[in-house]
This record gives sequence, structure tokens and C-alpha cells, in this order.
Amino acid sequence: MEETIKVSIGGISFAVNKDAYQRLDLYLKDLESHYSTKPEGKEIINDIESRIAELLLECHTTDEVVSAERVDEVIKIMGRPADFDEEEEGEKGSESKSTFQAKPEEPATSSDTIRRRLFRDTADRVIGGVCSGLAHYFNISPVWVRLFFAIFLVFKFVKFGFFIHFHSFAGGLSSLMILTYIILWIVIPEAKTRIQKSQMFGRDPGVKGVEDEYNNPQQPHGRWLGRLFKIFIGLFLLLIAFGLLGAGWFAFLGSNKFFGVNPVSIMDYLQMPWWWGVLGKVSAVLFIVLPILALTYAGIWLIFNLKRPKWHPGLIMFALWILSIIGLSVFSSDKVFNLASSTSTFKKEFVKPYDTLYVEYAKLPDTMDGEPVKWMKMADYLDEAVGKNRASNYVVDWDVKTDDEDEVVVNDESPYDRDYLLYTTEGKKNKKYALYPKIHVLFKNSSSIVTEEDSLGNITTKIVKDETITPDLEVTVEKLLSSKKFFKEGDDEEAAEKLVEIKDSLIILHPNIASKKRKFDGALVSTKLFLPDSSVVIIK
Amino acid sequence: MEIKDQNEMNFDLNAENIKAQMRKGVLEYCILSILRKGDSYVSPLIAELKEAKMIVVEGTLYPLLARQKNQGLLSYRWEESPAGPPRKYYSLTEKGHKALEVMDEAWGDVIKTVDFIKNGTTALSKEI
Repeated sequence: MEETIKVSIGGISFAVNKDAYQRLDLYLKDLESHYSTKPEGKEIINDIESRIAELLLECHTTDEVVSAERVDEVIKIMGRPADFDEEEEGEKGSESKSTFQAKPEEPATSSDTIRRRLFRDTADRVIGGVCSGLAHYFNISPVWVRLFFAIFLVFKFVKFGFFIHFHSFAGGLSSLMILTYIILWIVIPEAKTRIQKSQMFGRDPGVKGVEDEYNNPQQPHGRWLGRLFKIFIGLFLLLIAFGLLGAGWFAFLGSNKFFGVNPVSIMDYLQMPWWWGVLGKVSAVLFIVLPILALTYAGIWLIFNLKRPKWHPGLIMFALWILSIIGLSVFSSDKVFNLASSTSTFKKEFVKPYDTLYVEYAKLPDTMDGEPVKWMKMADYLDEAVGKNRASNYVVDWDVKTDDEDEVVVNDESPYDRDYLLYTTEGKKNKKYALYPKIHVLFKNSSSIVTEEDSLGNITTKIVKDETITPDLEVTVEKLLSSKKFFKEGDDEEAAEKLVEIKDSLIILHPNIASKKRKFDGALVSTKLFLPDSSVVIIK
Repeated sequence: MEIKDQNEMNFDLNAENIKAQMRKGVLEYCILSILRKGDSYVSPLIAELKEAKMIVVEGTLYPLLARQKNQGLLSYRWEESPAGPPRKYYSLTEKGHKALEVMDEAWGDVIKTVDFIKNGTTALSKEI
């Protein structure tokens, strides 16, 4: 079968055979060397190309292979540049001589200065042809670019146990590189036509695309400085974008300040109608991601001098970003989601004024939603997830250190104050959280030393117990989320009842469990136990 | 001998120049005249010029069109064509129309002059 070559002439693609291609190529190069130095040269060449396309179309459909004979005919009709240059010689007598002298140099310079353009090389691709395209642009072997990306992938999947900081850093970096690859994939156009493929390698395509030439008129000197400036600005933008992404990654997604879930999905654990959750999530993600995306896009666009797409991506991104701000402000408004807390306090009575009270932490359920659950202390989880030394940085308010002793005896000499106890489940998926109420044991001075002097002058001291001071339990419910829209009036008391149970002398502290199915109602319960100083509390 | 040769050469060159310039001048005049009848794209223009045997190879036309456009005599607009690439539709500008009027006059003068020289007094004397 005869070899055919796809070419674009005057913006229309033709299939030509090899002979025809060579002839066309020669002819157009001839034209170019004649006209490229003249002020209207490009336009003249483009007009001639359009006409050639028209002449070819007169007796060909676009599918038909153009033969060498037909090309010869067309060239004969059009005439060789020398033929019509002669006709023009009159006016430009001296000038055309000087161009003639310059002529031998021209082909060399014109083919050398063809600007490389960035395309994805889908003919040589592993995923999207991004790496090979970049390699062609920088005139290096695709192997290097692929290796560069592959190294980061290794970070993603291989754990570097020896140095925990490096591992989390490298993991973040590899996610960043994957994101970069995807953005490049979207932004960089695929090399589809033969001309684009030639431009990708910086080769002279031989037959110039008319459209391209119109959009990028060549002004070699001014453009060079402009390009340099654009590349500089582009690199700067990319730097900012990566900085933002990195900062966001480490401060936000990568950290465990939010107890092992990222703050976006923490909304899954909060009691609110799902659509508010969606609004909040989408707005938050867009708000964070869009500026980074926009900066990356703009940077790449400037560096590689890409064409301005027709769908105004910048404008769309800006509009979406504004929308995300509106969404966030609606979401965080008083009516929907409010972090301002409200507190209410309830008093609980004991049946009798026991001298000894017991406090017990209720057991965590072994199964939830029909699945076995493995609980661990938040501290242990963080140790595992972040590393022992750093975990303490993340836990500020929450006392996750529990005493290992089975029992703690609390009396007047050793008052007791224990913060919320937080447990979580193993793994990263479908996490569940259990929060035990705070407990603070306070002693009141109930006995006083009474000195009595009787008629004999004997002084006796007696310890008198104030019987009016009895054990007293105060339960405070603090609502982190005080939106009236979602939390009923009176459910504070419900929470107090549910989480703090009194059975005779036993106080049972129940965990407030939150999962994606059982959402956190925002209730933080703390208990204060006021006791006469003679009593003892045993905490299990 | 040497001097004579050089003179001959110079003359040849000049004659070539004059011929080329004459043809070009007339060709430019023709292009403008065709466009006066209505806007057109290159193909009909070429067809008419070829029919009138004004041009032999089509390539001649393009540098001329480009120059006339630069001089402000012509302007063009892009129009889609039913098949093939979009076409440039050329039309005369106001300046073009004025230039054409001057050319018309000049052309009339040239005809008369040539007529006068070739045929004696006839054409010119009649008018005078």
C-alpha cells in the first residue's frame, strides 16, 4: 500500500501521498523563503495556501489521496515564486536583490527558530502523554520526566518507617504531584494534527497551518523578552500555588488536629440536614481548591504560552470561588451552623447522703451497626498516625491520658479533675468517636473544729459535721453547636439524663458516640461532684 | 566594446522593468475595476483575470492584493465557504474608489496618448 501523509493546508486536512507531500513541501518552502522577510509575507503565503486548498478541493474530496500529478498541476496554476517575483521586480528592483542574497540563509534560520509548543504526545503515552509532551518541549528523553513523576509515586506507596516526618512529607508531595499531573493533563492540548506534532518537537511542519499563523503573528524580538517575562511570572504563580497547596496540606488535611478525619468530612459527623452538609463541604472544598487551581492553571498557561481557551476558565473559576464564599457564609451563619456555645446546668440528687461514692465509665459497645468495633484511645491512635513525639502537639484540650490503675481513690487530700475522655476506632475509614463526660470532684469543708469551754474550764475540741452539706452532682451541658434550627429545645436535659446516670451511690458516665450514621449532637457534658470532705470517691 | 555591452545590458534591464511595471500597473487597475463591480473573493477574481488573459500564474495576484490592502485601497472580511477554508472577501475602500477614479482618468489619457502617437493626430486633435 502506498504511504499517505496527513497534512493541513489552509486549515483543511488532506491525505497526500509521499511524492505529493515532498513536492508541496518544497513548493511551500520556496514560497516561504521568498516571502518570509517581506512585511506581508505571512499573509501572502497563507492566502496562497488557502487557494491551493481550494484548488485541491475542486476535484478531490477530503478523503481522497492527493496525487503528485495533481500537486504539479496546482503548482503550475499558481506559478513558482520566481515567476511572479519577476513580475514584481519593477518596484522592488534593488530590494529583491538584497533578499536574493539573504536567501541561502533563510531556510536554515526559519527552521531553527520554529517555536516548540507544548502538547501531549498521545502517540507515546503511558497515561495521558503528559510526560512525553513535557519531554519534547524541553528536548529531553521522556524517560527522565517519567522517572521524575514515578519517584513521587513510590513515596505514596512505600512507607519510610525510619523517619516519620519524611514519610508524611513525601506522602503529601506525591499527592501533590498526582494532582499536578491531572491539571497538566487537562490544561495541555493533545497533539492531533501533523502540524501540532511537528511543533511539539520544534520541527518545521513544512506546511504551515493558516490559523495558527494568524493567531500568533511572529515578532521575534519583542516576543522573546515578553516570553521570558511571562515564564518568570508563570513560575512565580506556580510557586505560590504549590506553596498554598503545601501549606494547606500540612496545616489542614495532613494534620490530625481534627482527630484523624479531615475537617471537610468531619461535617459527616455533625447533626444537620444533609443538604447543609453538602453545601458546607462543596463550598469549603471549592474555596480552598479553586485559588490553587487557578494559580496553577495561570502559571502553566504563561510558562508554556498556551492558547486562550474559548470557555474562559479563569472567569468560571472566579465565579465559582465567589459562589463558594457565599455558600460558606450562608453555611456558617447563625441559622445554620453556629460555633457559639450555649450552656445549661442541671442538678442531680442522690437518694441518700452516701459517704462513699463510685464513678464508673460505661463500657464502649463491641459492635455498632452490626459491625464489630475496635476502640482505642485517641492518644494511641494519634501516636500511631502522626508519630509519638508529635501527637502531643495535636491534643491540647482533650485529656487522653488515662491512668492505668484500675481504681483511683479520691479524697479530700487528692482532689480529682479529669477532662473529656476521647476514644476512636482503628483505621481511617468509617471512624467512630466516643466522648466521655468530664468529671471534677470538689470537696466542701463540712466539718469544723468546735472549741468548747465548759463551766469547769475544761477545753474540749470536737469535730462537728455539718449535716446540711450533702453530696451534690452538677451536670453542665455545653452545646458546641447551638443552632436552634437543628437542636430541639430541651434536648440539653435529655443529654444530661442520658450521659450521666445515677444508681444509688454509683455514677455511671456514658460515652457520647458519634459516627456517620449517628451524628454528633454537639453536646459536651461535664459533671461536677461536690462532696463533704469526709467522703471518698472511688473511680473505676 | 565593453561600454557598449554594459549599455545594452542596462537597457535590457530597464526594458524589463518598464514591461513589468506596465503590466503590474494595469493589473492593479484591473483588480480594482473588477472589485468596483462588487465584492469578491480570490477565485472569481482569478477566473476573470485569466479569462481576460491578464495573468498567467495565479501566484502573481497575492503580493498585489497584499500591497493594495496595505495602501488602504482594499479591505477584506472573512466569510465561511460552503466547502473548504473560509474565504477572504475583498472590497474597495473609499480610498480605493478615489484611486480608481484617478486611474480611470489616467488610463483614458494613456489611451489617447498612445492613440495619438500611433495614428497621428486623429484621436487627440478631434477632441482639441
